[in-house]
Amino acid sequence: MTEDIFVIGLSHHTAPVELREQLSTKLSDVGQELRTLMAESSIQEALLVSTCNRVELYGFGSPEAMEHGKRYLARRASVKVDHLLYERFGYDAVKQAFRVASSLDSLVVGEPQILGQMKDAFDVSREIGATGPILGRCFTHAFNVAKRVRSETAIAEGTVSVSSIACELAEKIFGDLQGRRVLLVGAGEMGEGAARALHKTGAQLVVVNRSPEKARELARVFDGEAHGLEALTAELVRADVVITSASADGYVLDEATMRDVVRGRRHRPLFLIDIAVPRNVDPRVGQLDSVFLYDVDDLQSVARENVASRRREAAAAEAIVEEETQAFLAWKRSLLVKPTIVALRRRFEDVVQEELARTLPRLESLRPEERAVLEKMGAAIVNKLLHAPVRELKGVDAEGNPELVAATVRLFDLEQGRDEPAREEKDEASVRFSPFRRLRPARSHKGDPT
Amino acid sequence: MPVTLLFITTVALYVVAWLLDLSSLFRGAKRSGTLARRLLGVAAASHVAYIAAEFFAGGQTPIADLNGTLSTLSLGVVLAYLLVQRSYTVPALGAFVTPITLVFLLGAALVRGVAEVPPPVASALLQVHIAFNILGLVAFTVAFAASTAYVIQEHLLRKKRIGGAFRQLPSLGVLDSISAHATNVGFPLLTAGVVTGALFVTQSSASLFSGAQAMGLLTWIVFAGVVVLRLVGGWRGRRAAFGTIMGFACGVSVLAAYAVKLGSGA
Repeated sequence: MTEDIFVIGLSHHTAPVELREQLSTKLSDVGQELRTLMAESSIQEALLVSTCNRVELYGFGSPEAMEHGKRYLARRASVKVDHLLYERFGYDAVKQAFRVASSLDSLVVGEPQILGQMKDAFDVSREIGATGPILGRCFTHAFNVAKRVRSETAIAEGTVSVSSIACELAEKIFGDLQGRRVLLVGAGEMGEGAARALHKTGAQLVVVNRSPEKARELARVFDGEAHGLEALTAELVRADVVITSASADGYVLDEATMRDVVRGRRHRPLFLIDIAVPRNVDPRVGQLDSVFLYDVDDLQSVARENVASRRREAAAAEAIVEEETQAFLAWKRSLLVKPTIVALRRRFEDVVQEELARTLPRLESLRPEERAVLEKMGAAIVNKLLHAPVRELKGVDAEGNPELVAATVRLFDLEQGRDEPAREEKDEASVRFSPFRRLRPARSHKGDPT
Repeated sequence: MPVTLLFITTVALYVVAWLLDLSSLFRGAKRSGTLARRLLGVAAASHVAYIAAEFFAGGQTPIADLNGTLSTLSLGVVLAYLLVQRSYTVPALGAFVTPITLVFLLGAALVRGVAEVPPPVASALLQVHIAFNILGLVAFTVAFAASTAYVIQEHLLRKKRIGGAFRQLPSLGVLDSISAHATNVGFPLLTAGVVTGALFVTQSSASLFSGAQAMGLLTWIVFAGVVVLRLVGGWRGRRAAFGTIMGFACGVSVLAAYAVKLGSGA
């Protein structure tokens, strides 16, 4: 029953939003929650990630501590949720942290927000001293994994919302959108969304609407110009991007009009985004020179394609996560090596001391120098005997050999922990050999549940 | 033999850089794009060493014969591309530039020793003429690569094939601007090349290159058309790209005509 990293939680994969919201915690309250949890349980380190798609409690401790964490989470829900909570321990928990940070577990795979949310959760936990050397290292590692996944795979490439696809395409046509003229025809909600996205990239908005008040109202939002319908043709000639989302019967922009417009534009490219249903732009306009016409279906099929290509990239990302999980676990194993060697050495030295203490009184005739020689001999025997085992325990890469470490602990009975009588007397289970315990920082708020 | 070894090394480096570029273009591997660019720098250094070795071995200036001219042209294209990379970040363009470099360099090897310029023809004026044309053609190669990428990117955009290569290729705006800049740089150089060429022909008694001359003039006319129509007619995008591609094809056919002429005449 060793201690390890664990995670308990639920996500969009396992639970509906009605349950997720019952368990979720505002970021400002997370610190308090963690303090309460740690005061009443044997969890040594804890971190709570709470977003609209997941609530996950990461911790470091024994399986009993994990059980406690589970009860703690479950009792916040009004109904029984135990069966919906997943629990992962050791390898699986580390991998979960890495996958979540890399946005592989997200509803929209590759979305960037989760990394920021995890960093916030980490900061809160660190501030109140709830993360120590293990979770701290685990999450720092997770953030690096996320960075690596982003730079080495195309998982975050290709946006998946209609507005951002409109932006992406506009950028692929014009390069920089700074100062480009974006003409918004009509006042549909989706058109407004696309206009907002383009506005954010530094484009200049122009609104043309049948109702001048409506046009002015929208233009104010985007700090742009407003015109009535009579200015439409002139604005079409000046614009770089046109978004149409008017509710109209028949085409607002027919081929003949657009032919004239294109002539007036002298080969300047025009990106037409027809978001309206029924469509505002005659599809034949897309055949005109220098005109790129995308309707709602086109944008949505791009979105689907992007989602699919992100899924394909996810396989490469999973491989990175697996590799990094192994690297992290190797680091964690290396933590075990040093305390084991120290305990082993102390064990041997204790035996020498005991035997010397028993033997020396019987050799009263010995001079002090001779006693020193005997003591020296004892130390030399210990060193000689330990030389090979210590070398093997350390292993070639100083990461240690976990099986040997376990065998050593067992063979030499190092789990007794009798050399550390002043251990915390919190529970029975903790009074045993535990290399991690020494790494744990002092928790000043202990027993102070305010 | 060090010259051959340097040649093989240079070719191999270009091939690997190109493969990396292709992997970056089609598989979106960003690392291989960066690596390709660095490798191209190494390849260029190796290419310089190769040209220097040839010079010391043969004692001829690099552009004295068609072999040297093509090899120098090939190197010039790489250097120009690396220069373009400093002002625009367009890694995907390497996938278009590097194969042209390779074709020039392999073409140089093909005409090696075959197409010696007869001594009476070789003069200082001829060398100036060749130098101008090489510089012009270097610029047009960059313009050609950008225009080809433009045509492909525009096709993908029209067919609504978003993803894969589309994502890696630069925007139409950037490609058009690279093509326009390169053409504007190349055109005066080509003009100087044509003028020195005409001077050379009037001075020299040998009338060697009539077919090539006609193609050279055609190249100049096409590029003049592209430059003027861009400036006055507001041409840009696909039309300008097709014009540039056509002009480049003419320019390359001049080289081919020389190779055939010199090859059969030697």
